[in-house]
Amino acid sequence: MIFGFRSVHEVAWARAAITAVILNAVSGMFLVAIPAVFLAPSATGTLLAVLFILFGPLIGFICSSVYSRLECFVGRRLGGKASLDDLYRIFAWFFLPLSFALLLYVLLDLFSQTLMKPSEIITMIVTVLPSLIIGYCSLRNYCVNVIAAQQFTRSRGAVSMVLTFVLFLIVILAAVALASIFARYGMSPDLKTILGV
Amino acid sequence: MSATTMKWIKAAVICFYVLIIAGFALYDQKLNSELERFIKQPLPEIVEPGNAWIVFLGFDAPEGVSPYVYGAQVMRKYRDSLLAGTNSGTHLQAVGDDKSKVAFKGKRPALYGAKHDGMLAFAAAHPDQVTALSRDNEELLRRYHGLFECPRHNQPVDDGAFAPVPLYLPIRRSCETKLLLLAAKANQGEFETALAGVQEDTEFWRFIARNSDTLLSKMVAFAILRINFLFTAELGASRQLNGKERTIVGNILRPFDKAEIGFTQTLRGEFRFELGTLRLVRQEAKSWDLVSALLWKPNATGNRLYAHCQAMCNLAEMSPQQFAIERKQWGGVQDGRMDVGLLYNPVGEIISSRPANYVAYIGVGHDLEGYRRLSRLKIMARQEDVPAEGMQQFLESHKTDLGNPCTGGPMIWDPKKSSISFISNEGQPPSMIFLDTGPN
Repeated sequence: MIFGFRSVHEVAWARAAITAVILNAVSGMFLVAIPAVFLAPSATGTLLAVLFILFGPLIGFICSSVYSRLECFVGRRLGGKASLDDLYRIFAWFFLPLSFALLLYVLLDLFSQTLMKPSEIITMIVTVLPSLIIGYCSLRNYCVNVIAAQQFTRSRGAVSMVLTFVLFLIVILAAVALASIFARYGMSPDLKTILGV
Repeated sequence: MSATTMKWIKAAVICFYVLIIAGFALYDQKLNSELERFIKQPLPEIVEPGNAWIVFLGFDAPEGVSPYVYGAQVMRKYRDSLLAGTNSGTHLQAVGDDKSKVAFKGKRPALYGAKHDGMLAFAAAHPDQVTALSRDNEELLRRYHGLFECPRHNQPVDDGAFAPVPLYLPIRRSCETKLLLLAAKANQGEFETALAGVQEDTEFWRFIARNSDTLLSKMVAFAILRINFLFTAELGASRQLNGKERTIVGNILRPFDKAEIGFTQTLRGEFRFELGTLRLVRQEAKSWDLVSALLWKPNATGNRLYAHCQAMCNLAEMSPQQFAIERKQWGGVQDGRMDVGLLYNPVGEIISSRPANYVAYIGVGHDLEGYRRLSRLKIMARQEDVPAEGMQQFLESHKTDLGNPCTGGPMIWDPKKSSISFISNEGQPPSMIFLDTGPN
């Protein structure tokens, strides 16, 4: 089973590459669904559907491509043996349950706020626990698979994954900084006034 | 699946998204044909002798300078800065802040507030203050009388938010001073002259209300008309009127015509004003302003704003009673949800998802109609010598022609306060407006 103790790398390698692409597309849709839930009151259904169907997969492709490339880059620097394809597929099987867990948390949180008293411990457990379990299992399997694919020791594998994550955060921050510069200097002052920026 | 096939699939997906994003960056809607016709309608010349708006603009011109000449000069400076291609900040600097302008001097009383504090009583109790106001503001009063000779009121709505705006405060203060002087005349026995003066004033502000392309001038006109009606009610209820005086009162308090009390022209003017502002902002965008170039589509934005304008016009054309029902259902919140336009016109979609709320302004028009009816009722009650115990019946008998415009019911009689009132649409919860029926 996907969350069994046997590592999933055998399953990942056995699936076709196209499956990984589809999984990443679905994961992206789950990720886009998270802000869409908050955007729902101020957006039409058509807009939400287009964002979900059109841009969800795009987000999934970008995240999976960037992350697996970073993983490959860092891994090779540390002497890893895995190919980009292997890491891409492993990431796909990790990304799907993770994005689902995040979406599940948001939905359960909203549900509990509307129907239950948010301060109760039981409500918090019900909201957080399922996502926590799914997230932990998927992360654990991801680490095991990457270490196996890269043929790392545990410590080297841990270093590789931490460095990859940090690099990924840097890439995101760089993209946000670029967008901020674009918004700040790529817009006339009067337009900023009208938009309230 | 072979590696080559996978590469082709990846390339296809990348091409697909590149085309989608390029399409969004380049696409703009076709301009609504009705909107296109509306924009192409030429506006009358602004800097033209007899245009009251130019006189408003130059109302506080320095001593010895004609308000029209000064206002025209300000408008020309602004338009020259536009042609020079400078930015909005420079437009405002071009107009400048002239410290040598004439300012209104003296303290005016607070009138027609929560207490029964009419002009006749004030003028009788404070003759020196009224004289001082008249003496210290002689120039402004003279200019105020000059306004009545203006046959036009054309506003530069296409010039947008960067155009100079008249300062209406000295105009309102001059109006109130003039009415106080008329109150003093009425106290001295020149009753018909006082009424004629109010009629002249009312006719001018009805004209402004009828020809207002912006909410600012419309609301100023409504505010002054309200005071005129209340003052007329004071005069009319202060004594028995002769035939000529009744005619004058009847003229002052005659029903509004659609253009005077309606908002269609004003809302369309405001829409054109908004489009003008956006057009100027877009024109001033530099070549490096990628946000304006790629993320802001003028046609799509215009179409969205026009749809909102049409919806507001439909609301404004409803009867006060229908408006009251629609407004409750609406809850005062407008549907500005972002649509698919967000993908190719995010800036325009953000701008048009926060449309200005004109609902409250439409309600002010219904309030003014309510004031007109209250004023008529007050005068009629006095002229017919309606006793306090018969007031409720009197109000019931005038439910159709002079009832609450918002509900269709009769006005409310409060025997303790000796006042009649109506519940307006304005505010939450609805507010009461009182008018004493007793003699001043």
